[in-house]
Amino acid sequence: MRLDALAYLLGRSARNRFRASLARLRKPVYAAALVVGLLYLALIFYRPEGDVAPSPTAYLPIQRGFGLLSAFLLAVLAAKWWIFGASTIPLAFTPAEIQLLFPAPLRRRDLILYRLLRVQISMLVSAAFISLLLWRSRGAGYPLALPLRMIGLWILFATSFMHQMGVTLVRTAAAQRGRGLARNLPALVVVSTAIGLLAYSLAPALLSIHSLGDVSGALERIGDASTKPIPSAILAPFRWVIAPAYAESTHAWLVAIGPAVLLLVFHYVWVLRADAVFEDAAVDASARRAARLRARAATTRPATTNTRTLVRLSPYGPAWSAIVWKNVTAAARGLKLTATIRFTFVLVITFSVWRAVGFQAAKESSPVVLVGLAALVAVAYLALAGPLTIRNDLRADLAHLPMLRTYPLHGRTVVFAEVLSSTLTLTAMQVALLAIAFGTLTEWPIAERFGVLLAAIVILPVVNLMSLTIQNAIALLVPAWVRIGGPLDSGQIAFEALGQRALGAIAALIALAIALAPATVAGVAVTAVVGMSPLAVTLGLAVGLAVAGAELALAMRWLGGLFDRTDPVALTR
Amino acid sequence: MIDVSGLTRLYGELVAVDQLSFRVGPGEIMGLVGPNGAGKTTTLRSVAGIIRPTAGTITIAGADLAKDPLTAKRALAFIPDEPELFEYLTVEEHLRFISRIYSVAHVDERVPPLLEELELTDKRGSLPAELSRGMRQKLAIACGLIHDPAVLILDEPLTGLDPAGIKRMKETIVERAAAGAAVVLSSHLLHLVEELCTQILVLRRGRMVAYGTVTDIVAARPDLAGLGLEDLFLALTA
Repeated sequence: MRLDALAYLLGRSARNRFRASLARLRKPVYAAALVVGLLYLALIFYRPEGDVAPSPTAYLPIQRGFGLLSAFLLAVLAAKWWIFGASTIPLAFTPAEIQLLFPAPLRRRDLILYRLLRVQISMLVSAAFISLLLWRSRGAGYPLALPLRMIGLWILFATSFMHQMGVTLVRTAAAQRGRGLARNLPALVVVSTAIGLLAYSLAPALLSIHSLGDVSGALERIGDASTKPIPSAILAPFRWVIAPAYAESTHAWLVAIGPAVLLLVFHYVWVLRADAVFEDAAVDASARRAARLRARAATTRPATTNTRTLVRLSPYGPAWSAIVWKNVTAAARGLKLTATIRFTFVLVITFSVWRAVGFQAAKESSPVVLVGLAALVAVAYLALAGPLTIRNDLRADLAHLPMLRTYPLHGRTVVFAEVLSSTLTLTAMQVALLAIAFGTLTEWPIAERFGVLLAAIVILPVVNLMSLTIQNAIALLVPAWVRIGGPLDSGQIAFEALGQRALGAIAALIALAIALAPATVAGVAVTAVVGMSPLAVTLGLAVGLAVAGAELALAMRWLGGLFDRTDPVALTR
Repeated sequence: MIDVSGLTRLYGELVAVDQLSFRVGPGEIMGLVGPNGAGKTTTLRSVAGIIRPTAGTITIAGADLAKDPLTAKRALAFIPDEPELFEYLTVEEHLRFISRIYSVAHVDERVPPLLEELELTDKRGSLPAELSRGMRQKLAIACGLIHDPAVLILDEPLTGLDPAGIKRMKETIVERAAAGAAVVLSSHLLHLVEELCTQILVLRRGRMVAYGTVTDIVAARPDLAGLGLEDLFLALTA
């Protein structure tokens, strides 16, 4: 047993991480982040005087409904894990752990235990945060003590984590024995049969909710149907593990905690015993994790072996365009068909549920119109969230800063090329979605549709360029806020990071509003002076774009200087 | 070709490189040696334009790196010990990309022989993730050589290469120098330095402790006469 050494590793790593976070607070920008983060939390949890908390029983039907829904979701997830494979994250170790711990005289179960212990901090923090949020929403009338809710949520997270670990170990063992499907057959048969029986038992209730017209009624109908023997038996383990997290009183929690703990212990024993192929599964999972993190540093998508080329790089042309080509090619190669299918699937399910539960606008519209509306919603969503998630720019390339710095290019040229890369990617996605909306929203007069499409095509690139310039400026100004090169470990928690996202998002929005203001004011003023006419609007638009262009030129000059002064060593600290 | 004068680099209060001056002319190969933490990588990174010196001037092919960085950088190639590659570009695309960055003419004629020279032809369509460590190192070398640099800066260039790759790499360095390139080579492999370099610069705690040919160094320190390079190195850096 070398558990003392592993405990030492965990303890010292946590302590040193905390110290590093403290050290970062000496820099004003990180101290400001912590303050804003704390203010952000205070705003979430602050309840002004006179704000009366809802009655403890007010949410009970909805809570029961969501409890049931969660059990369903967990059952569907478990089925997915067994049939298609679970997340490999629970078995993923860092490269240092693979290199130093795997050859060490440690038992497999010691390493599994170590992996379980390492994830506990983030699990406990998540459980505490969600408990606090629930408590905030229910105020003084909260019917369950905070620690009890937290324990319930922790059991749910820990059991789910170990289940995925166990599934991965079982599936890896099956694959290693060279007869994966046959080895997995019993599990697949059990899971498929359970899904079939569940669907068959609940089908009448699911088909009838269309006529109900409200969410709580629909949940109640499904809840009643799920109390029948077959669905009740199938959903029982999932209900047990969820029950303490959704308990409505201390008594209900005490009743629920026994089965949940039993399931937790069962999973613990199962995982420790299912360790025959641990090393292979863990090494594979770690390699996937490393590839995923590398890819996430560049985009939000997993790594790929795809080498499709959208455009071949011409040997002639300005050097900066090669950087744009490289980044756009990376985005295209990172794009996975499965991600698109998943996105479409979520949209279809969302609108189906809207129609089923009687959302009026959804019921009255044809599916084609719904697709058009969804496309417009997606354009707006991308305008806000796209600059945070589409990252084929400096946020990815700062990992290669030493190499970029050897190129015979000015800093401002590199920054411009980098920002342009993600702008092109984001705008192309939005234009594709606008084209879908244009083609499907046929009830809208074509002249108006065309006008909106044209205005969007002119305005969106400028807004995107500004927004992404701000994101890249954040990467250069405060690189520790941004995932660059070495992404954060999943179990790593920097406490000053509390405010990072909040501050980053708020600062980016304020900066965007400030940046757009001069162009907007100039454009509107010109339009107003010339008089409201198509010509005046066009002129106003042109003036607004010119002002925005001048602002961007100044910003690129400033950021270029910043890029030239950025020390690669500082990025790794 | 490379003219460094009074190079100083601080990291906070730590003096990584202190008042370093040296010159590497066309056809010369300078070996930069020193124990871990001596300031070799900081020196190389400063000369390559990756980090800014705190003080001092660096001139590459007649261009001041601080005042005219683009001209200076067009003339140099930096090949790091750990290959830095773009994970979504294939081997051939890396070379085409770098060619555009350095405005290399006749790319279609230059790429195939370079791939052949570094035994990468079969891997021209592969992504870096599909390459072995040695192949990745070869690709980084190819990226450094595609624009025919007048100044070559190599940080542990043989790391990860197989014996055939090592032999080929040594030949390449000698050939480039013979063609007029100025080469700076950092390595812990003293036999490599002895075999290839026309002069040696020994660093210790950021300061130069010896500079010149082995004969020059021994002439300056007669007490070291008769020692092999390894013992000479240990005596100078002790």
